[in-house]
Amino acid sequence: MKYYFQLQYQVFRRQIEDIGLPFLVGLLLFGLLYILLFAITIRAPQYTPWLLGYVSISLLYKLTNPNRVDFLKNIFTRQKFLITRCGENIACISPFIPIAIYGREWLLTILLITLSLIFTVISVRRVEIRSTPTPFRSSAFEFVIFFRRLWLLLLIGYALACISIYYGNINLPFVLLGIVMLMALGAYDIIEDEYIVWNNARSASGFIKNKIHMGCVQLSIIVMPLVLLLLLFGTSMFFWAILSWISGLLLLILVVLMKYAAYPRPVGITEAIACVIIVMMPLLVVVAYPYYYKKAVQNLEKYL
Amino acid sequence: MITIRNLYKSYGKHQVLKDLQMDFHAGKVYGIVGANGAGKTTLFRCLAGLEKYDGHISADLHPLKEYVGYLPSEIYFLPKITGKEYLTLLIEARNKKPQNLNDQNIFDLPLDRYVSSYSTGMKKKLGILGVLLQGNSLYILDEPYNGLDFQSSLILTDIIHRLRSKGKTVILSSHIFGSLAETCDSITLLSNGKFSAAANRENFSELKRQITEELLHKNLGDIFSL
Repeated sequence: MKYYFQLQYQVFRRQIEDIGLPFLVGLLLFGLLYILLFAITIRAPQYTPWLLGYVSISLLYKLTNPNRVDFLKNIFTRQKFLITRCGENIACISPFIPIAIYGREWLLTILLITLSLIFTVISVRRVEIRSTPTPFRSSAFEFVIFFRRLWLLLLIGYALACISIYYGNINLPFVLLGIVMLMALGAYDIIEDEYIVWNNARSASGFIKNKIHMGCVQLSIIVMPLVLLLLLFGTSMFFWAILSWISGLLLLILVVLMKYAAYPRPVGITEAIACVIIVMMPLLVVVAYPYYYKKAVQNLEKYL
Repeated sequence: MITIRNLYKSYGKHQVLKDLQMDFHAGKVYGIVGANGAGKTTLFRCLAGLEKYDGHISADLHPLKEYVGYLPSEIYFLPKITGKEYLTLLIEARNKKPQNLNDQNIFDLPLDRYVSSYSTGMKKKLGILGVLLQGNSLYILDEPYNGLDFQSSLILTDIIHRLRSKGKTVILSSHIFGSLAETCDSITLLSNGKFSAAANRENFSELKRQITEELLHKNLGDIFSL
């Protein structure tokens, strides 16, 4: 068990060093990101529970990868498995707990601790015999997988938005719009096999343009119920909803370009940091789009 | 000895394993054959303690899981770890100290390289080496021959024979009947979640004939008329 955690530290170290950064510089960048997160929650405390909740639950969810959990179950005894999973879950949420406590978000603090314990014992492997129908084209596999994984959360999100509109709260649907978009963009974490890309009849640039076009349409389908709700019942927030929708589409373009610039390896820490910086300074897209587009086309020319 | 009684496993309404009964004795090698989706992997996962099930799986060894070396058909590897680190992790997980791994590297794997850079066959060899070095009493090997080259297949067959002679129990599946016939003391056919036939070494050819007959029912004309 001790060796497993030592290995995790080694893996973390290698992930930083493999992108060409000295380990200490990587740690410093993480420190800066943490301070930035703290600053955001101090300046906009109304978004603290949503932001912290989204980031920490996403990280917890990533650790529940069924193959990974099965691997740990297979190699460790039941007791060691539970201690290991609990330890990594607690380590995962521990940076966010001080911020939540500072923001007096007691409910969030309890929720995160409870979830980290629940994720220790529950298994997320689901063997579904019947496929869940989706509103997406089958070629947009990222969205199909996203929908099949999280359709229940999505429905809860829509229902929550309707209830909050009924009670005159138009802020919640707006926040939900942001969360749904971020969740959907998380689907681009799925890296398709090189064989799938190789099979495509398009050129490299055509492939990327098609991915962007398809992604924009599918993302719009997902957020449309929330945008329409705000259009019909929350007119004061409508402008912001449209702006968020467009921002979501712009972010999607960046995510697609970054994914294929890094392909076939998953998007790493460099891209994640670059993405955060671009979100903080949106004008950088003028440089980021051509840069990542060129890199992605060069990268995909190997396959197409 | 491991005993399976009245074993059932369902995913929702879909029943994968139906009323399985079987005994696995020490010093014997058992082969499980069956079409894709017959339930072989689910049975192995139940034995390895990775699935909940209805029925009973009991063993002389308690808790069984600590004595089982389970090799899945698709092995999971943590990202950015080397072959040596993977082996060390598996050995230390059983509270054992790794000895000189380079001497025990029977497949000549590049243990200092990242596992992600290994070929499919090399990953399979690393997985096999991992469960062997754990020093288990029961080995559950799901498609261990898949992806192995000819020489490594011979080594694996020799390993299974040695495990048998040391009194270990080995349960394995393979698509290649010949591999099973060469290594197993008995082969059981799993069809649609049920054990439908079994044969000891002297009846393997009869079982093979039965399996071949079942396969010949498939209508290949549907695809070749295209």
